Amino acid sequence: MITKFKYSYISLEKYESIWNEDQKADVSLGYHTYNMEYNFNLNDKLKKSKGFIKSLLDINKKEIVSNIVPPAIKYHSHGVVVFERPPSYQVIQYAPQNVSNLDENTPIHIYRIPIPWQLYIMTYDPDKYFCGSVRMYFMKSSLSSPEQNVYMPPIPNFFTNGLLCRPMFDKMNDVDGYSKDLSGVIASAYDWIWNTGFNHDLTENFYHVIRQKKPVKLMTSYLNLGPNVNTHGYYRGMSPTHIQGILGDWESLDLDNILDLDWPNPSLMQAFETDRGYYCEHDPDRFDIDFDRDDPSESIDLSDLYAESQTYRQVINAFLEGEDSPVRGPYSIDKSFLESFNSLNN
Amino acid sequence: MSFKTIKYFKQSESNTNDLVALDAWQVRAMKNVTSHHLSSRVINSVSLKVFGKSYQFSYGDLTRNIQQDCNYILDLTGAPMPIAIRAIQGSVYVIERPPFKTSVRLSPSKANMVRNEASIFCDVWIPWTVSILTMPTEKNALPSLRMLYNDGPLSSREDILIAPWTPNLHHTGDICLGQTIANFTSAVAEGHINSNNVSEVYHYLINDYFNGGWNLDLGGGIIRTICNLSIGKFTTSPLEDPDLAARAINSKVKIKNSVNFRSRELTRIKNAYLTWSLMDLSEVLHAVKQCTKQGGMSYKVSDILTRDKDINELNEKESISLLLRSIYLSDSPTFKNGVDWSVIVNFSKEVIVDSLIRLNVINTIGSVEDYQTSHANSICERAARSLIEEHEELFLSFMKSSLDIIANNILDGSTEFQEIEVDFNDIVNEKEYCVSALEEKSLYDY
Repeated sequence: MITKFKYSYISLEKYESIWNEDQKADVSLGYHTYNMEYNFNLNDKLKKSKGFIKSLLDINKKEIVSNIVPPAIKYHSHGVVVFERPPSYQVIQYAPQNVSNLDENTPIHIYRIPIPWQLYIMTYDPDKYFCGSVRMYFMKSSLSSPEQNVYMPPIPNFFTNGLLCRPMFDKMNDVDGYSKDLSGVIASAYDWIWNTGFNHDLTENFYHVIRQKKPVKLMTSYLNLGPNVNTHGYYRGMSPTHIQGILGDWESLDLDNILDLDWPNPSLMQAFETDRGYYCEHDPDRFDIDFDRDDPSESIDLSDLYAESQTYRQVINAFLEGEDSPVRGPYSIDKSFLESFNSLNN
Repeated sequence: MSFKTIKYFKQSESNTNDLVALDAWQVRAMKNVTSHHLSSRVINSVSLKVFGKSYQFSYGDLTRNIQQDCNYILDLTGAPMPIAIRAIQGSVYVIERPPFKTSVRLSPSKANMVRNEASIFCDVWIPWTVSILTMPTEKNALPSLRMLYNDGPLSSREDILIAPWTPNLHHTGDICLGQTIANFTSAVAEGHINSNNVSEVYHYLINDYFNGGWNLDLGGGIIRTICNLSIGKFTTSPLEDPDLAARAINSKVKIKNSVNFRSRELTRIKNAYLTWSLMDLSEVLHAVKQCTKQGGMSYKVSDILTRDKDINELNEKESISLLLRSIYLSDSPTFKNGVDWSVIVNFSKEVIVDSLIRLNVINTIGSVEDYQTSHANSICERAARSLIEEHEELFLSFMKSSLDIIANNILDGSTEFQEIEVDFNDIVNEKEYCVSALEEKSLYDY
């Protein structure tokens, strides 16, 4: 911690040079940290580009580097962008294997599916402009209010809270080849989802199509498959055959009617089961929670969680509490002080 | 040489969580006034008067405001941003809007002369617009909006845009907000608008511009120039263009013949708008494209953003003010306005006279009592400043010691107005006396 901080700034301007940008000033700075004493004194011209407080603010400035971005940004904060895309057809390249079993002989099934409005919530490193995480939700219309409902995308490789399982890249250029600005990270997030292919990791979102019966139009082939499919070893019994059945039904739908469909409700945490703890801690009024029980979260029925619709605001609140949250805990300011101190001496 | 700005921060040594900032709002050498009827003309003593205010806050307030912590909930859950944000730089947002049709309601006079309703009514196509919205910041409490025309959607920061030809815009595209700003300020004060939400600020300003009616406060705008240059379908004599004349007849638009050089300026402006109303969207976009080839009215987004970035570059003094303002506005429960303070250094008449003699402003001590000049104030004050410059090191040392004592007293909980007053001679000739006087002040307040 910084202690004994003392800073004096007295400008000594000559009347005839008030327009001179580099004014003479008397600057005295002193502080202690980690048993080190830092002192600086100046009685001379201080360049307009220099100064202790100026440097502290500049170092911590949350500057956005933005090229021309697609016209779809709904929200922006430090290291977070929320953007949307209108309904469109998207190509799903689905490899029916887990990542550990993928090889060059694994077939790739291609589906061209119509999708409704999509909302993307992405985090990025605000200094290096690398994509950090991407979430995607479906919507029935463009986002016009934080109270609007958002839905789970029944697509592989997504957690039920809309978070994309981070893809693996073969080449550094796949990660680093984007412009180091806002447009670059948006393009990167979009590619993470739509241009890296899909496999059979994380299929629970398909289970929720069947469990929540949303949309029923995607259930026809699944129900027709009956008990003949070997579901052994597949999470919640969702085999590649089932996934292909659902995607096949989806492909037969029209883009024109896609906004009429109901989509599954998303969870707030990475799985519905962990939502119980979230509600107990952060949103206890939403369910009738029995806090007298040893584990109050168990008083929430899982099927009630599936039936719970989520608004954009509720999703954002949970996002800020989640693993991909951009909120960092308080960290030491000592580094900023040292950098600013050094900038005065250079 | 003159002291212009005095700012001082100190962290309590006994409780490291407490800080105080001293900010001088007046630093001025002033000749003292006497009861003499010619007081303003005679040589007299001078006082350097430093008056300031103080702020007390916590270490957490300091670090939070230096690190400019985000309020993610506020940022991510207000009204969604307008369609379509095309670039962001600091507090500047580039917002694009596709073409749309709007009604022109133009009063043909300046705002203070408007008597009746608008006399120019017509519907026109507004081409693609690119608005540069500068949100309120600690440095600029009010937003500003600049609008430019484009012939299509933005594809790069290097696209060439033109200043709009609608009225009430400066030649740079900056919107003359006039009464809008006053209305905006009161709407913010009454809580109807969140001045930190891009969508709310943008829609308030842009709707006010397009729906509030226009006048000729800034003249007819560049639409007259465009007509004079015959850009696209714009012309000074639309009735001589058979196509436009036929459209005017079909649309029942009455255009007066303004070929005669005696035609009133108002008629020419009115004709320009009516001609515009006869155009379809493609003709309007074509005119925009033609304008981009004209010098003097075209701009690049990249140049605008670079210029705004330069303007926002702060020096040390401004940075300190920004930090203090930011702490002040943060609504922190630990922040409070501290007591006011002053440091006064008196320069006796003898000291001033000595200095004036050494500066060759006056000749002998003997003549001083009779010496009168209308410049008495300025030469006395200049003499004091000269003395400060001559003894700058001692003076600065004294000033910093004084600020340190005042800061300590405030950190120790003093609620009294903090005042230190010494004679200049004590600073330069009797350093020890001056130091002991300061110590006494410190002990007294403690």
